[in-house]
Amino acid sequence: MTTAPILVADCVGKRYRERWVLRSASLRAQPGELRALLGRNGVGKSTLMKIAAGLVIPDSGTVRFDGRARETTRLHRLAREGLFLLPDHDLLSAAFSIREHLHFVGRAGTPNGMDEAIETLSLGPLLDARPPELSSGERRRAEVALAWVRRPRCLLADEPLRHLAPIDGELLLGVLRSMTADGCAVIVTGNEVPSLLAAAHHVTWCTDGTTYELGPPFMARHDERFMKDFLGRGIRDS
Amino acid sequence: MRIPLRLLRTLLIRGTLAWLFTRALAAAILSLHATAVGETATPESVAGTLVTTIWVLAFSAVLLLVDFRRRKEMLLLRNLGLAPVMASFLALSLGLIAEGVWFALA
Repeated sequence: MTTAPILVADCVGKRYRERWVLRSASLRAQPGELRALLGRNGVGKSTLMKIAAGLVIPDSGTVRFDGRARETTRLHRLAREGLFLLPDHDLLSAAFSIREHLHFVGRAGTPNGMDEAIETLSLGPLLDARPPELSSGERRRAEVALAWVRRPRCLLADEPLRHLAPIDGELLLGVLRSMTADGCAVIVTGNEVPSLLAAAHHVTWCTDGTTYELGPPFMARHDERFMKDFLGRGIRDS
Repeated sequence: MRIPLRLLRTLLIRGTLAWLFTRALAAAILSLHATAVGETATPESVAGTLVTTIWVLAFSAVLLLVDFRRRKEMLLLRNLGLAPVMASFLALSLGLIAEGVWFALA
């Protein structure tokens, strides 16, 4: 039985000045599923994620969270209902240590798996450090730990693997997979295509201002246009 | 919505500092104005009109919003379910109480 999507951005359009970045793009987050939102640079993947998260107001289209459409979607409201946005940068405040960040996001009265997150993501030695003292990879691990400890119902992760060593990327994707196993709906963007195709349950392709649902990665790899216009020979043959 | 104590404490400290700065600025402007029109600046003349109180609180809130942006804390606050505008007014709680008391006494 397929469960209803928790987050639906439907027929979304967005233009900056005269340039339409998105014309009719859609995004769905399905509980227990990791979806990869792929596309070339500048096609509007991050814009679509920000619209779905309520950070950017679309020029057309609707966003529904938990079955409810809203006239104005705002991240802080969606966050109270279980959405977490992992942006491509600037989630951590320089004013607080990693330990304090983890305490902030933990919800009172619910087991949040903080110890597990610290151990899995090797954050133990970094707990009392502040973000500016960390490398970009360490910051990224800490940000994913925040998302994990928050126990969101839906996670939108914009380029979580950027600037990461392959081993760290593998680790983070493992965490995201384990979050989906707990019922979280996860959408990930990025250009680390082989890793994302290996981890994802479903592929959405963003191109020419719209999106295509390509299905599971093995089906995406057999989509002729996706292969020709996005994957290129290197990944197609890998 | 639960606001972590450590975060609340930080917000209150920042909010109170912003309020103190704005209050001092308002007092300086009002006493300069009083001098310019040939009056003697008194505590009453730099304290409590409703317009001054609203101006001080609004300016402090804007300062705090700019500070959140400068510190890149907007997304963290939003992910915690706290709108930055709400956070800035929460941070100004002590200033709001002080303004209220000052306004009532003036």
